[in-house]
Amino acid sequence: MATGSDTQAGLGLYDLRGTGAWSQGLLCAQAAICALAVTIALLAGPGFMDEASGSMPYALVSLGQAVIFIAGAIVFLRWTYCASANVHRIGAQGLGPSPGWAVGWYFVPIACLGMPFVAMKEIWKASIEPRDWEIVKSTPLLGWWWTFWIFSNLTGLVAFRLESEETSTEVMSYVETLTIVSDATFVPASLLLAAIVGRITVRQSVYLPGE
Amino acid sequence: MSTSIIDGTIEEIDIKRARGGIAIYKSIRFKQADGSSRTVTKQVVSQELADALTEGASGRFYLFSTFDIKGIHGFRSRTGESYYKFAGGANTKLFILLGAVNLAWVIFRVMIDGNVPMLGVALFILAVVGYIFMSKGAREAKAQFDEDGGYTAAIEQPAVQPG
Repeated sequence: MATGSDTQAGLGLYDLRGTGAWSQGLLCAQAAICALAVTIALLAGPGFMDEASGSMPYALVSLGQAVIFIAGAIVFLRWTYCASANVHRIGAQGLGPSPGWAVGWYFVPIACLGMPFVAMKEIWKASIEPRDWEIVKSTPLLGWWWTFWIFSNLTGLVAFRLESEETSTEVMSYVETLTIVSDATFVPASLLLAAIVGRITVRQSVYLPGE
Repeated sequence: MSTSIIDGTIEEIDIKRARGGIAIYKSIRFKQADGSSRTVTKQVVSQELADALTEGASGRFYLFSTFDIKGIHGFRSRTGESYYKFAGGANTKLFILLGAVNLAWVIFRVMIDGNVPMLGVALFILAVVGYIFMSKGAREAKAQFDEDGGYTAAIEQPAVQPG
């Protein structure tokens, strides 16, 4: 997706405002469509995921969720790369993940449970005080985002594994409950991440020339 | 993996624990040569090096950050002493062990019942990535320290007096 303004400016810094705005927009859209999916699932009642007799609106919303998730992930990962590159370039020393690994850790099994959080926390701190970033106090937003994100992903994963192994009525009931819980917790996870992206974007924009 | 340098003096040390040849610091605060302060947190340091890191120690400190470990791997004092020890060696061995055990597990399960255990594959991938990071970290830390060997000689040169 062309964001237009994530080009390098001045001292080689990326202007995050365009990518950040797109990322926030897609994260909010993701939160909205997850809330819609939960609402439809609760209104449709048990069996809403059934292939033959399930809810058609739910199936359409699920497709929308997938599309927005993929688009949102691409833009967010681009933003993460640029935000991490910026804190390296404004003089923060001793940072853990490189810009590439700030993105790459999301794809490494097991490590994806913690390392992306470490990378985001460092980006947050170094955006505030690059020279002495380790003493900067982190924000509770990060902890809450990561808690909801992990919980949502784990419940979704369990639901997926259960569904692919067993399709009895009893198991499908668990699958549907877990899916609703996963979607419901994805709402605050997305909104919190949108807030984090917004604050870091604003914080980093002060280092741009002319700001 | 990244390495960095701090030129300055240790002002304050807060050690968490020291055992098994490794010291873990909650924080170390430096007064840098340019007058500013910098604090590093959660630092892992080998005991040999930790013995030299006392409040008031002054010179050049060499830091690394790799995977989920940060630490100090080298120190050159203003009086000419030089210390080097990378503290991540145990983790490298741990990743080799983790990789070997999980590779054996995956092969065993494939041969016995034809199933690929996803957890085994995930842990094997983690072990490979972790090993690459730790061994690359050790190499880069050593290279950084060795390439800066001129530091001690430079500070021992008598200052040119004006006039």
